[in-house]
Amino acid sequence: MSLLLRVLRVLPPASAAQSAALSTSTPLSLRKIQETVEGKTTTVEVVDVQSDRKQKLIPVRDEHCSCPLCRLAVKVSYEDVLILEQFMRKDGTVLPKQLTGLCFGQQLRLERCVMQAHWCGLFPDRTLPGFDRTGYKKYARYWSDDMDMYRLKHNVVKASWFYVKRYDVGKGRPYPKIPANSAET
Amino acid sequence: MCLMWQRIRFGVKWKPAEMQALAVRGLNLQKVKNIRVSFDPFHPNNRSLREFWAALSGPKVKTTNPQCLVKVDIRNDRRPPYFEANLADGHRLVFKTEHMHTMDIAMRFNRLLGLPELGQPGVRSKNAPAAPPK
Repeated sequence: MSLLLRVLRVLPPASAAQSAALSTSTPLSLRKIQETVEGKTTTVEVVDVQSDRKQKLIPVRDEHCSCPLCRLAVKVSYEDVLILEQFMRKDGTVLPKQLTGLCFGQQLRLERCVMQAHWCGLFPDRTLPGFDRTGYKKYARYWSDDMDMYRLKHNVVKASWFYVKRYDVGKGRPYPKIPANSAET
Repeated sequence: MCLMWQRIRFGVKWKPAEMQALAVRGLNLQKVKNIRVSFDPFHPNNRSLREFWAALSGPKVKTTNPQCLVKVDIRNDRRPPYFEANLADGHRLVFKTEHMHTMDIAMRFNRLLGLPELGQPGVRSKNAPAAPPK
């Protein structure tokens, strides 16, 4: 919790409660707390932050989800480091959903992609110094999907009976084929 | 998976309630003359101000300045909630709390009063008054 406290202290503008999914007028769903001093009166209010790169923002469309990654219409992968780092802290962890303004599914996807990017060494200065690189994890890693971390592939080695018992299975049907790379596996 | 994954999963938690509780502990009304809380109960974003009002009415906060008057103005005009605090030195604070979290209100209020944003954590004795401002 102490880590989180420190991080939230660093982020006073974004720590205002955001209802990012509901904003339709401003493309940038960011607000900040503003203090205005007039004579002896100090007014504290929350104002919308206008982006200085307004042309480059993703427009809001009428869809079921208006979170930035759903609007992007591109599946973000671990290689999109410049996109991922906009949702990250300096220490390589991901900001909470309330601050990123993402929907539930995209937030989980983002976390997985960030973890994959760490694994690939794409954030060398933000990864934990004690990152586990023992055993098979010391090699470079490439992913085709964000769920690949959970899809375990078993490399099945054929036993000797596969090569020995090669009998005729019927008229016109060929013998079971030996795969080309079977000698290696 | 590994420690990095634990750090990522830990970092995505957002619990402002702890900071809110600490900030409410740090409230001290010694420099405040009176406070006027004004909100429409049917406005959708009045929750933070209601929670802050509840924090102001706590016994420990009340004992910091029994002379401080908290008036509540309940409206029926669907306008956003706000509260005004008149300080003893003649200054006036206006908080428009529509999109603010209770934590932000309490921390900003403490800062504008010149107090530490967060109060002291830990157990406090039963009969002792709230900690004096530093």
